[in-house]
Amino acid sequence: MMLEIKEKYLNNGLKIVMCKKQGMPVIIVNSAFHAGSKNDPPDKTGLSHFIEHLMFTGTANISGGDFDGILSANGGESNAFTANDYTSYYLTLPSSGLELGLWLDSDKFTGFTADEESLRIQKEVVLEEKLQVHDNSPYGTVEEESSKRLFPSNGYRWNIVGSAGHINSFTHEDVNKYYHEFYKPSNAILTIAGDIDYDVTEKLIIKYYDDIPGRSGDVSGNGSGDVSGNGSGDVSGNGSGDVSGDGSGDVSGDGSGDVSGDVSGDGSGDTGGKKLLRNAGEKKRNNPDTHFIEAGEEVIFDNISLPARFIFYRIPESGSKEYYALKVLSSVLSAGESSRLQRRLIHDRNYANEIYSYVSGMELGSFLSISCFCNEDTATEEAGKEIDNIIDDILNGGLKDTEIEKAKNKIKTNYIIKLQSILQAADKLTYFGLIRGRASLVNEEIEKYDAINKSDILNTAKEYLKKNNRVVLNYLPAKVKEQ
Amino acid sequence: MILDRTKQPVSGKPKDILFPDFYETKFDNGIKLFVISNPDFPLTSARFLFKTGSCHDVLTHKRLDGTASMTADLLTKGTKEKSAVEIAEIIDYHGAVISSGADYDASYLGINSLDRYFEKMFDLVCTMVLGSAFSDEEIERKKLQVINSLLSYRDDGGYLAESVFRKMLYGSSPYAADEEGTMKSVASIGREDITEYYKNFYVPSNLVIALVGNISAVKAEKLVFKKFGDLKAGKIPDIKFPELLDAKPSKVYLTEKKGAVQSNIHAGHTGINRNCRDFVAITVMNTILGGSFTSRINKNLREVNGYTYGARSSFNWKKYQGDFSVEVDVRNDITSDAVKEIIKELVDISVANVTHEELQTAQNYITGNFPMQLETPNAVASKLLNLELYGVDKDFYNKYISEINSLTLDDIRITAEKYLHPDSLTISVAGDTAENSKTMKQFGEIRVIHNIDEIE
Repeated sequence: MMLEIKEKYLNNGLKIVMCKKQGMPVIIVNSAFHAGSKNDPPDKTGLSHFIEHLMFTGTANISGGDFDGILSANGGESNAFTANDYTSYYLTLPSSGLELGLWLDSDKFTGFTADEESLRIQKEVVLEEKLQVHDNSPYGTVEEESSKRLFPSNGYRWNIVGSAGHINSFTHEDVNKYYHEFYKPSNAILTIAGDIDYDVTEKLIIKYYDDIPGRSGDVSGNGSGDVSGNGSGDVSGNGSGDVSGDGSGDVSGDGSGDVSGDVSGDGSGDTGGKKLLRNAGEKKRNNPDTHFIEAGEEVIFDNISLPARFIFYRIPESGSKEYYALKVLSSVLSAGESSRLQRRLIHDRNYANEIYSYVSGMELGSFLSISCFCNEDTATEEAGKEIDNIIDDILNGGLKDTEIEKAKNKIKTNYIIKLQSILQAADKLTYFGLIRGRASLVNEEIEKYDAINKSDILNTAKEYLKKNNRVVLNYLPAKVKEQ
Repeated sequence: MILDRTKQPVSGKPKDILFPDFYETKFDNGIKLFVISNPDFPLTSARFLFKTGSCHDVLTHKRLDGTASMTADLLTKGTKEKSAVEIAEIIDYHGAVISSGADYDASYLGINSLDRYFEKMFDLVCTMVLGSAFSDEEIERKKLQVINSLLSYRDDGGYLAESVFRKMLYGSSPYAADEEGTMKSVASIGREDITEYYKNFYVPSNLVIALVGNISAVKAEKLVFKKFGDLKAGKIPDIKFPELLDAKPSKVYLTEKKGAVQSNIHAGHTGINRNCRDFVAITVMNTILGGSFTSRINKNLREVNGYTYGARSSFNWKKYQGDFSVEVDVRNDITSDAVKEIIKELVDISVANVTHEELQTAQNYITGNFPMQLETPNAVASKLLNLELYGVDKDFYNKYISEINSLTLDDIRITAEKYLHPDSLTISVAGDTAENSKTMKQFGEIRVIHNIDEIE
């Protein structure tokens, strides 16, 4: 299962990736910039994400609101997300609309024309997004509470959406300064995937992108040449957080649900750090005592019914050998009902309502996370003890060869399922091309996992899954506090 | 040479979209089989759909909500030969993905695996369809899980708003209940209720199977016939629904959500069932109204007013009855302003001011995005299974594009007038009830729900 890929650079430094994929007569235009929330000035958190929103409120030749209107009128659709390390924009169109898509996308390089009023409205929209995603959502503060403890000294320590105070303070000057630093061809990638002809596509790309002035000489700190990077994909285990597909296995509704096609959950999943989508998707249900919490663990009271324990281990940057070893381990831990964590905590002990682990890969350092939503009457430390026992057993040599084989099989099937989707394929190509240096790495991903053996996993786990290298958050129902 | 970017390129005429080829057959015992062959990826899946779901819970002896859902969930949790743990080991070892569940109208089981393991996986899922063990131990475990899940859903304002809306609109209809049941009903479900549901509804005449991916029609038919060809057809009992009536005048339900910093609004009225003859016109009308990012409702509430991250309207069709709703989350102090704007949009679209450009945009948007919905063979299978479940003609999608493009402004206006009832709304809001009580009176009589147990 290989994707056909052509990669090259334009003279202004823009990286181009083309992928012809048989199937429906549609194309994806996906451009991304190597700057994400970690590049926010510390007193302007949320700026990267805010700019992602502003990008749709007017550029030199496409006035406010027209972007989506033009796209809809031509049978297309768009969305965008901001991650810790990069920001990605994508649109879909019938393949006959390729030139239109390139025209729309390339206008991103011409600068903002948003006025005060657009700025004000987008601030309100983003503030509502923050309320919806974090403040009014059960367990919605996990990202903030974990990030500031995991990465106290770099730009991963704040929420992608930023703080309300900072969002309110953004000025045109802030926006323009960031834009000029990061939104330039040498810091960007353009991926075109789907029903394309290479020659025609290349000519059109040159037409719309080649005259964009390069601004080389001031390559940003995280510019090209950086081998490490940021994963893409979705939060495994619960199948949410994905660019497309709801994984809910629903045959009713709008008929897009896919009983078996879109179910994710190989436990190796990679959140690509965190991602915030520009447009609200379909709403999803959030499925989600303790007087003996160990020192160093945090207790947070929230408006929730089920206690939950979130464990985060700091691990090396994405793309490293250790990172792949721990992704296999994460799959061993939680992919499928027979996995270590699901089997013990859900099946054998009846402790957990839901449990999953995932690796969030980022270029300045990643983390492996275990999220355990306990049943109402299970104490988080009780569940925590079981989880620790499982990890100890693995560290003490209890890991079986068949478990590793199983994990790799899971990862393989899920990877193929994902690449069936042209949007997911484009997303991966963009990620590998922009962050890891080469889009064709998308075809070498399976080999990376196959190369991991038992001692790689053990050595890496011993090094990083240590109690003094983790953050533990115990979320408790607010009513426990009141008693 | 510097390009003149002020000129928008013209998009060419999109290629015609043909619904992918599929094979269809029906066995003597009533089993319907679809095969969607596509060798592009080394994956094959099998999907089983029984045309009864949670709305048929009322046809069981104890009428316990959640019976269908629990029955479907338990299919994968042990057969006569293998325990739940053994099954999970086999599935996971082969890297396969399995899921089962029930919604209002259907129960399903599906597996997706690498094609080289498919026959083995198919054998295994067939043993589940033909006779799960439904052991007491697994039933108790599943009950505990569902009860805890139902408890946690209440932490989510969106769930509360939707749940109250559904209960108030559907009243005594089987669609009023949560598919998974209530904490109380689930606690009462016993093994005999599950085996009763299984025996009555998991019969060949009620079964649709789709084999999808790297498999030929000949082989698929042979595999299915070998397992299911000799079974007796069986017959499922009929179901009746009470007539659904809208609130008239509109009514407001305010549900307390602890610590809410937003109001979750879920407002609407009765809708359509899937085989409604105006389905396509309604789809286009709703795309203009609130079914897409550039729709009137999202434009108004998000882009013009900055009230929300996103607002949408949808016709939630089911087999026998459906509803229409607008969903949006907004900060507390603008709850009533947001509802006012929603009602304004529902009224406006009925009074003949949809422009030609809006209609054209909606038509192009739907037809342009249609191929993305047919991208994977499993997505195609979902569409076919739905048509079969809801009793819609199989050539629906062959006529879909031309039907969309033939709609006129008059059709949209008439459809809006007929299917939107802005003066008969059931308005459900989860949030700070004290604050919302002050501002929401203008829309209708208010009922405050302090705890959702009051209405379950």
